Amino acid sequence: MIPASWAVILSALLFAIGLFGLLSRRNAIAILMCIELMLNAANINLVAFSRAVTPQELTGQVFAIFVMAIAAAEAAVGLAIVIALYRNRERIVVDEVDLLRW
Amino acid sequence: MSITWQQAAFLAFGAVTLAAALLVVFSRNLFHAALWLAAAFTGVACIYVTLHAEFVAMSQMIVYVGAVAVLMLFAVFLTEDVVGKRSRQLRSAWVYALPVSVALCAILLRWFGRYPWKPPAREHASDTAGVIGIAFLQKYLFAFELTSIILLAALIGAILLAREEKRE
Repeated sequence: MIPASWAVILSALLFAIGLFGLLSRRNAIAILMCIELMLNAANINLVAFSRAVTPQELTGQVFAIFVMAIAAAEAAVGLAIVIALYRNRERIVVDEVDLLRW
Repeated sequence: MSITWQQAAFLAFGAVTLAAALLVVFSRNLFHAALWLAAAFTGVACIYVTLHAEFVAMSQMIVYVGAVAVLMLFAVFLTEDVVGKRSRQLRSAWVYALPVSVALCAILLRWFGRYPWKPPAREHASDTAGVIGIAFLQKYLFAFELTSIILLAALIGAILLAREEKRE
């Protein structure tokens, strides 16, 4: 029996690692990877609370599957944008893609 | 307090996941980062198994390790020549990002320390896939269908964005 607090602590650590990567990586693909890490951290929370709060209905696990589907869609569209960016401007370092920056 | 084998497994998989996540953030070679991302996803799937979420664990393996990590690898290969292995991988703003993430983590852990955790009141469902399937097709039917439309829209959008434009 794993206490829910352990899972939540693990999720907080994973989220913080993902947040640091999101804020500090230069490559757009690496930033997408860090977003996936953060979504996984949220999913760990959902599964842990599903066991603690609704162990018969498994609401949290249902929502974890929904998050997974949306994350897959996000990764596909995000990587397509990166590929289009690479094709048109030959750069995927986010600091250098500043056409719309004020 | 003695530790059961389940708890030991959770701690081991958690340590592996966190180590792999750190390597995703800090590895200089983006190809290695994508492989460590697959390792982190696998660790999270193992954590789902220790938390009695077998169906979610299988979906994690198929969707994340099978699809998302491979997609990342393809994107890394396609754009390999832009960011060389030797160039700087972190922005100079990482000195601000570090305290922000550490502070967020500290605040969260402090809240978790105060929260009165209770053990679950009821037995856990034994047939997770069945319960989840029935929930999808009864209570969450509308959201389920909406998700499939989102996936279709994302598929079409991704193809349109990444397609080579014909020269007229």
